Amino acid sequence: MSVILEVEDLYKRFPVSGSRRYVQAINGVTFSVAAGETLGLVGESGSGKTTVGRCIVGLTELSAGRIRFKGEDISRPRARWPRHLLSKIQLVFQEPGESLDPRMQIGRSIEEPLLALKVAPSERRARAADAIERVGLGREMLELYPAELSAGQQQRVAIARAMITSPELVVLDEPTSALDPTARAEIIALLMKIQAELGTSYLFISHDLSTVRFISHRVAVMYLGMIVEQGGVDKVFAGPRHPYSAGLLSAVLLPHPHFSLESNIRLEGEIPSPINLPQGCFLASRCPLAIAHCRQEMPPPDNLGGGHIVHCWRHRDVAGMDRASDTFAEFQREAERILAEQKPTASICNLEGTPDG
Amino acid sequence: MNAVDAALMVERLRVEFPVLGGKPKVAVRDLDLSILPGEILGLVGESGAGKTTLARAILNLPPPPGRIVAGVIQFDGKDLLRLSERELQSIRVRNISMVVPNPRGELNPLVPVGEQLASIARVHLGKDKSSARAMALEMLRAVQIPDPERRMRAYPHELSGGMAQRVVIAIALMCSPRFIISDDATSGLDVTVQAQILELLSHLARKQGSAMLFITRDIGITAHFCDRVAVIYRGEIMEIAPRESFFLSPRHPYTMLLLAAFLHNPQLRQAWTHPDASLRVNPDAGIGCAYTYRCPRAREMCHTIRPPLAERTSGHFVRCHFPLERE
Repeated sequence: MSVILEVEDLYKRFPVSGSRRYVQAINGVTFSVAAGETLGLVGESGSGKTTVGRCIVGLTELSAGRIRFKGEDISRPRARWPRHLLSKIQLVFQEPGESLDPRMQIGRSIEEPLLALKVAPSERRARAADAIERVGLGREMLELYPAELSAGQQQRVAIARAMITSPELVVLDEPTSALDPTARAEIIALLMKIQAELGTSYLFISHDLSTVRFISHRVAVMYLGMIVEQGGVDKVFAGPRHPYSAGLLSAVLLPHPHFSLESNIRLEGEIPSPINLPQGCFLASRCPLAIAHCRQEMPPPDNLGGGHIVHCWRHRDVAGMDRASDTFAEFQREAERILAEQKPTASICNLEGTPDG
Repeated sequence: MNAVDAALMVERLRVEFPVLGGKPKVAVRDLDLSILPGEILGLVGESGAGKTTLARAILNLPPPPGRIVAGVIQFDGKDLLRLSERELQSIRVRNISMVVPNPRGELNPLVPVGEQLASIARVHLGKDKSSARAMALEMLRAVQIPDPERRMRAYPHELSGGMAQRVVIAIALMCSPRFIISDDATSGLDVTVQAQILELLSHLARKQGSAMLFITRDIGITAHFCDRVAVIYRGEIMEIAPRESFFLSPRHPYTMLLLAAFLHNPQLRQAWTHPDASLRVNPDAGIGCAYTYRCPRAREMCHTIRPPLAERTSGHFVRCHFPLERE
């Protein structure tokens, strides 16, 4: 698979108003996304994952580093990008209600990205109609206003608007966090369907690990503006090598009383302030494995092969502590058994909800 | 269940919201629920299901313009809906307390958190100044706030979200209430902090012997922190069962849908979803099953007859004409 997005040693700091200090939001982030691939970017609030997304789409100017899209440098605000790239990279925000203009009909919102590309009005309307059908809504909805839609429908509209320019890369910033679990599942299924049909690459930003695991091919775990571990989704979830990844995973609550992801690694306290970054490894103050060396020197990246990269002095000990079995996979098998026991529509009824004789 | 056994019993509670020039919208529909002393009951539902309305109605504080039009809330031999505001005030906080999300909105921004805690001990428990202060400090220690002596003097804005939520829990538990309502208390927190707070809340509730109604959107939480689990949909309990029975043999199609959202198998996820579920809306007629229009199992009678909440196996109640059969 060819790489379409390369992010190299990205830094971003924001000045704190009224002082000479800085919020150090991103502290040296390197990763890439291949064509047709989904990279999940996970982390807690304040980890800098949203800022990474905004730098990539050119809404936030980076402080240092380089971003390339298919070899072309895009490390600058979107307004200064070459025109042909504007349609290629799109962004979907977390709050669908806030990203749509409440006074604009859905159809106008969806075709808006085409204005910058100087597409003729008739073609704009035709493409908006195609786009809304692609996300599973009817053409008649083009004339509605955002307030007339549910949150899940609004997020479908936001996706339709992002997809209308046929982008090759979509940055999805917590697209499902504001939704109920069932609407969330529908949106994830929709995104995967679009990817299968069009080969779009996704950078999927989320704090929800079960969703990330489901949709991503690879995953990058962020903490205080750094990617502490990245690799294939199965590798990282089955055998996390960074204590922070292990701690995040152990906090996931699966809906089955017998499947607990609890590991021996429990994180204490909360994320430190990005204004006063700690010396050495950023996790040292919360990490049960921290030794004196961790507090003095930042661990370098260690390549474990197959693209699995970890930044931790003690990752070998993490590997030894964690259970080899993949609780996620075991849970999936058990949950499938429970839910498959009876076919929901078997003989009892048909899908229309009418009696079947 | 006998009224004497339960810590709190809700009977045929109905809360309505007036609609301008139309029939009122029913937010909680003739709901029955009882919680045993010391029990943690999880209540799962999506937004708009009536979770918060129910929580507030239990305290006889329905969110305006909602009105409680019928029902009984039995607590300590009294019906909370028939008490005067004065009697209610002494029951709230002292005997029933509530933990809500957005902790900073709950705390007074102008008063140090230690003083906010101490004032509860003075007002509700009649403690003098120094023993109220000692109690406040002890409570901050109990909710595992590091350096509690120093934090006594901290203002809410000086605390992180997780710390502020701990203070709110400390306030809720200050009077050792017999009943705690947690309304989505961890929804704004990060996952690693959420796990710490959940453990703390359930540990303290069990230690004090308090019963708890634990309201959440996240069905996964209830599998690990609750004794019994109930699912609410459009103001009605659809399924309620002891935890093991609920998760190992779920019976309501809506529960199946909620669980299927965690599955990686797209066919199974699809199977429990109506083909255009999110595009269909139930007419709010109050007849038939509330879930009919999203249900892949619905038949003719589901549109016309409201199913009762019937006991299928011991303690496992389902509101469905065609629940899943399990051995």
